[in-house]
Amino acid sequence: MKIECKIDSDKKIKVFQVEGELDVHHVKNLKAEIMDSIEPEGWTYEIDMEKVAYLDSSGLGMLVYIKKEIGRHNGKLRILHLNEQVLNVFKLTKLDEFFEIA
Amino acid sequence: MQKRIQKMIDQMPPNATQMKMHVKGSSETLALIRRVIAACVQHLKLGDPLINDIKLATTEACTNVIKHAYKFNDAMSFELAIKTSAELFVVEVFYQDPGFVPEKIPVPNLKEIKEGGLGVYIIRSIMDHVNYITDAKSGRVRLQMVKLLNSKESTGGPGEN
Repeated sequence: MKIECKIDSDKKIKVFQVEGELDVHHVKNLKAEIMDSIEPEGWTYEIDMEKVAYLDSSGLGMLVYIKKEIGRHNGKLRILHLNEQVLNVFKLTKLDEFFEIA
Repeated sequence: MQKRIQKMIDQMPPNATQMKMHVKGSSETLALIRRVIAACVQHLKLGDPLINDIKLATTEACTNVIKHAYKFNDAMSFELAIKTSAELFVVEVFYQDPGFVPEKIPVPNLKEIKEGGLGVYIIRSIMDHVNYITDAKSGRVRLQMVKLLNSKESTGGPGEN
């Protein structure tokens, strides 16, 4: 799994570009990377999942955790560029209504 | 309907088994399992829409074995089998989980957003038949997950939308 982070300090946005498969084996890396980068107040975090070919309940669970943690720091989480297969897993669990997906 | 599917599984002949794998109980193997499942579905020419559902259900099942039954102890192992007939695609997972009671698997309330507990819900949502067979004496669990082939009765699932 590859994770790259681009930071725009002026706009207070961090974009994580993720490549790989988000199952129980790989979620820890992404979770740690994002958790370590959470700022004290009011940043927006975007996870670009264009290159995520697979996601399951472990990936969803990790995203739920991250969104709650970001919310505690008055931040926002946006999920970008889900492919149809991955978006369908969100829809199946109705988590497409919980996350901001663009 | 569920009884009918179970009867069809029970009546499958021994040569319905296309493949049986002995798998290390490590989360590292999950990607390999997905590739094997995808290759098997493609080899049997069952159509791409089935691949995503079966890969997802199988990964969820194996994740539960590795995470909950084996607690990430990779000295443990489990078996995965694929059986087919003209009407059924069956994935079976054989593992050890003494004390496991399928009836006690919680059904998630999707209005309460939680970080876990969605794996079996996803499996049940995308497969046409899911059955846990437990042997209390040996602690052995046999999980059967079935997709109906060429049938209007199939529940579909995310890969078929």
